[in-house]
Amino acid sequence: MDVLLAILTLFGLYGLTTLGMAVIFAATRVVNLAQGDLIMVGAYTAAVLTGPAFGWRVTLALVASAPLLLLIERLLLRRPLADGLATMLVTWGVGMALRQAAELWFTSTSRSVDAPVGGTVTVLGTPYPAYRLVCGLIAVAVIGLVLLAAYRTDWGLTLRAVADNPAMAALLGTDPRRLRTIAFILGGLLAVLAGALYSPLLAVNPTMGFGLLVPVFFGLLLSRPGALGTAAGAALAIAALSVLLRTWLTDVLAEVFFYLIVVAVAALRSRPWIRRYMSWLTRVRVPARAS
Amino acid sequence: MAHTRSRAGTGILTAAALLVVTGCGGSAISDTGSDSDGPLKIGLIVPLTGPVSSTGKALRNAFELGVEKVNEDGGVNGADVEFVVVDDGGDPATSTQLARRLVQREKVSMLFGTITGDTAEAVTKVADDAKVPFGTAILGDTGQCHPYAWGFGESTRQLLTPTIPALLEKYGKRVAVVGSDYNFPHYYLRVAKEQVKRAGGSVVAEEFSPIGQTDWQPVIKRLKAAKPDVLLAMVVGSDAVSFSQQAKQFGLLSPQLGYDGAPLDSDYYPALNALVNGRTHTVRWTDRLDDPDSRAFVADYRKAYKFKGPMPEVAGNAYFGIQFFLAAAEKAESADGEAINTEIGRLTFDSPLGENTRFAAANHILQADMFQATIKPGGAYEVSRELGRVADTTPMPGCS
Amino acid sequence: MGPAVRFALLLVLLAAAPFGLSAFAVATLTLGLCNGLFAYGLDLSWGRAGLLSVGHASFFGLGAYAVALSQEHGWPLAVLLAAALAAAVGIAVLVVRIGLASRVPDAPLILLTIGVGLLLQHAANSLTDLTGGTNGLSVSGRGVVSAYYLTLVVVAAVVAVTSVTVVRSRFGARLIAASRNPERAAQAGIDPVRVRTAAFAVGAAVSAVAGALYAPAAGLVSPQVFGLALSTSVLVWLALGGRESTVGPFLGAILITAGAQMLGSTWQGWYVLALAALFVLVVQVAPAGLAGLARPWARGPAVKLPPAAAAPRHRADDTAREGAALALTGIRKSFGPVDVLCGVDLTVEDGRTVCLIGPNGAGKSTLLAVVAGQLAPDAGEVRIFGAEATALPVQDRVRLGVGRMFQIPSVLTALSPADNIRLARLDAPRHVELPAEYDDLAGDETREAGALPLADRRRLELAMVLAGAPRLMLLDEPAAGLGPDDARALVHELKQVSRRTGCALVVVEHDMAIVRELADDVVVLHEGQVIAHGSMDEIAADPAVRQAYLGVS
Repeated sequence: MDVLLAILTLFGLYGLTTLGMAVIFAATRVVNLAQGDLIMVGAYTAAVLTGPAFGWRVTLALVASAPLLLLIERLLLRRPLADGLATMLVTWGVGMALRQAAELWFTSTSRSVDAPVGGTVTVLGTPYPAYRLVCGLIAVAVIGLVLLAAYRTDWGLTLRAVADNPAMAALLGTDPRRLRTIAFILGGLLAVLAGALYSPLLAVNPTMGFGLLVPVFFGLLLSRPGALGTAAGAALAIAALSVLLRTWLTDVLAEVFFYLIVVAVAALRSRPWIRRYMSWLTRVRVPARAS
Repeated sequence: MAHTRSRAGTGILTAAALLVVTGCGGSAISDTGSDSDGPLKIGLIVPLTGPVSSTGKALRNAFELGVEKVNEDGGVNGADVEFVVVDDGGDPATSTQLARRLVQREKVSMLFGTITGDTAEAVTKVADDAKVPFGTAILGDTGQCHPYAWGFGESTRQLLTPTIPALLEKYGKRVAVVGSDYNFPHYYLRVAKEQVKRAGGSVVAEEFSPIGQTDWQPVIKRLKAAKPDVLLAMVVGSDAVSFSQQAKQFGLLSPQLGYDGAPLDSDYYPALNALVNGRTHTVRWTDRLDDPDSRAFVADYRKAYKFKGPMPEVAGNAYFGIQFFLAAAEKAESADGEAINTEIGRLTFDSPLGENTRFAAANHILQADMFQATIKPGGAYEVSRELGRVADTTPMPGCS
Repeated sequence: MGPAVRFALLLVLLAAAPFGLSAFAVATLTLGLCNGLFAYGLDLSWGRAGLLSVGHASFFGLGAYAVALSQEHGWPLAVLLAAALAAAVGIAVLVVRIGLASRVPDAPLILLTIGVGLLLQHAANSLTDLTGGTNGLSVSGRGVVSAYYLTLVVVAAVVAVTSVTVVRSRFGARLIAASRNPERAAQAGIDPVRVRTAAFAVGAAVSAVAGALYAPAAGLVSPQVFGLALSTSVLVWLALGGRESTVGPFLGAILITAGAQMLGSTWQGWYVLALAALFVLVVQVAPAGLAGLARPWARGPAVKLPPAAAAPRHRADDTAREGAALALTGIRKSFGPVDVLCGVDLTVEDGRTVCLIGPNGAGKSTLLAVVAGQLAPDAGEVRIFGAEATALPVQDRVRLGVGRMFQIPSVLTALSPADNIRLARLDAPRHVELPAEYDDLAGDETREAGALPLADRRRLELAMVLAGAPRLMLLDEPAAGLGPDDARALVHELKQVSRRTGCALVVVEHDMAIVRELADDVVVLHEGQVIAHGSMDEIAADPAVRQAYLGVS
């Protein structure tokens, strides 16, 4: 039970961020390497505004970051660049700038945020810190809502269509530019939300998001482009793997095995027989990408 | 092939431009060796950017005040002391290059600074090669001694010798240890085990976690399962904050549990205040030390840098440490690194860190006083017990 | 001024540096050269082989640790360096092979490279007795000036050797094709996976050499040399300097290294912020990097084949013609639960033109892909001129004489038409003189092939296939998208080709007018099976065909 709750909490953090990255990737074909630093932006908003209640601070973090995200998208990601990699490098630069701005502004000293809900609750006989549970549940609810929107609304349909074939979607009358802006803001806000929500569990400092980038990036790479459900699934798998390994082994060994397993999965997934099995499983043929 | 030509053209032009940019300053071929005339020059290597920059800046601030004070009192050998500050960003390879540059280009007579153990080790090697004394202000040693390296922070044994018996007596005999996974915490654990055994206790759990851990639940669960009476934590940086936060949330940090280690350092007080209030912490220096010199320094520091919170211990160590170094230079009557180094080994010096403080020849550890501070709400590290001189003369390999 | 002369001139300038610069500047330049060579290695892997590595520091770190370990433990340097190079090449080959086996290689490749780097960093952290743990190992170097010259000599040698063997050679031409359009490269007889793997591995080895030079220049090797931070930094240096250029990587690396040393301490946090801003700006304004800034003034396409590509080395045409051009027996292929081909038997005699027709979804394109080697059949046998070819990869079938045109003309869009044809000739079995009507394309050095109108791109693709001296051509709706005049001209040309070269043609076609014009034989495919094979008139009268097409019996 303990382990399941731990997975839930960690999945909330990884899931929100990975899903945000996947939404951005689906619409723009850009891996947003500033995603981790957007977590930091959210966490700092929650840490610095000590006045209002915690719920308001989270809301405020979202409201305040939206224009920032809009600005980044409009100013830096709009130009038709040579390839997606160049844009990826731009996001890396943006992340670097965000980190450094935070360091200049707030110094590198870690801050902490008090949990709005203290105490522990007992879940099926296991005592668990109340706020960790709340955090995980809110995150899972938001992930669920986003997935619901992606698979059940017109907007989601358009997003998935664009992810599948941008040129075709443009022919069908969607304005890809508007969709990209919205997707970038939404994806970024998910990371900001993750940061604000989880700030009471973490040490808030300028480099906090950079460390989270690796598991989130792994999650994105293990998912199928455009399929947001698989991104959430991959984040769940990463969170579960991390928690399980660290429950059974020491942290240091667990880290080694974690990387080994991720590398092994990446290696195995590209084997033809696994691919065939998986394509049979999902009954969807992965369209070959035109070169 | 027009484009290739213009590209190579750019290449040559740029190479020329680079030579100009990196250049200006004579020729490497005709550079001569060090000259020990002229004013004394110190090289300060600190991280001013990156994750440990706050501590690095505190060290620099105190260092500058320390040098200023010496200069106000007439300088060294009748001349004002000069210094050069460089930023290593906490990266040991950069520290090495900067240290070499300070020695070769700036001809400094001594080196000072560094925060993390790996950067300290890097500069130590350069100092040994160049025969220039190097002083650090951060706590902890690694069980190694180097002829030109001198630490003003407390050694691991000086830290633990008074701490462990007191904690064991007050809270109980079962001790758990948690650390970040790098060299120093492993050494800290080795010494801690030794001391716990001597005090009649037992180490019931030891956990190491990679630096940058975000989720401490598995570690905390295992620590909790061991039912410790005392928890020693050598988790550093942001991990000190996230570990303590989560340990509190899981109910590990109850008032019945003895808790000491890096997270109680005043550096983390702004983040952890409620968690550490009322606990005691063993320190070499605190800004509440009842000593005129120390109080004057604290007042100067707070005024000069508009600093409000509890001052990091490293500031005090650096302020008085550099004065120790400069006193040795005054005695050596020379700006020659080797001569100063010999004097540092011989000098006895009075400061708020203790009367007649001196370095032990067998391990280059400063034989100085320690204090037990009680952390009061608002971040006052009040001295609650004077522990007096805590000797650490354990011989270490490297110094004969 | 030839490239060698310019290279020598640059070298003389660099060799003179210690006479005009301070010791510190020379030390900085040394470090900059090491970093530059590292970025140059990454350029071979990422820029030239087109394989993004986010863990190139793994290779750099291996070289650095080889030197550090040799000094620390007194082990022979040559052995350790050889081991580091072997490990770098081994890891690189493994990673790329696994990555390229996937349909979308980017994601697994990025994952693998990051993973390997993190694992190595972990190993260096944990094996404290061997590596000194987090504190790392210090490496004593020689004097500033001699260290600089040693670095300069090694860097110059590595750059010279790799540019002659990898960049400016026939291999370089193959690499340009393989990284830009693996499909077309395979059709030119190039093994794209092998070429790209080799280039990536050379890049890894170069990075290891850079690491070995870096160790004494930096004075300390710690586990951070394997770190993600360094791996991303080198991407920044390269992106800033410019990919697919020799000066670019060095330019980016030296500028940033020198900047950090000069301005870092005074500007501190602002320097890092300024660097981030500058980086974002450069990627925005000059995506080709600083070295690319000079390109807009140059004429012609940005990418050109190296001169060595103009001198192909023809393989002897040793395979004897025996048996039918193509013989398929019992070919089956299914995608998941959908059976696309259910036991196709087909024989195409040498010199015949066979048109493959059938309703949508009949499996025509799949069959063509099975013959070309792009898809492996689940069962059945493919023989090409008598040779068993079922398991052969695309490029080996090309060597048997197969040439292929795609539904959408597949050419190397970044190269000029002339370079495209040169590339097609590079690995051809013998020299084929193209008819005069292709002279406009063969002589066009100034435009990019991607800018040609569709009909010209179709002609260019045909010219490329012909230059490879094919004996069996596969065409997938060659007239698709062409106007009636262009289509007629193409059909005419195809008939000419058949008559002139005696080449067998297998054409998938919908347009019955074209089929009637072109075909010696017509084969009707329906629901994955051949339901009729004969002349156009026989087919038109076949009841099974009428049933399949019109639903009448």
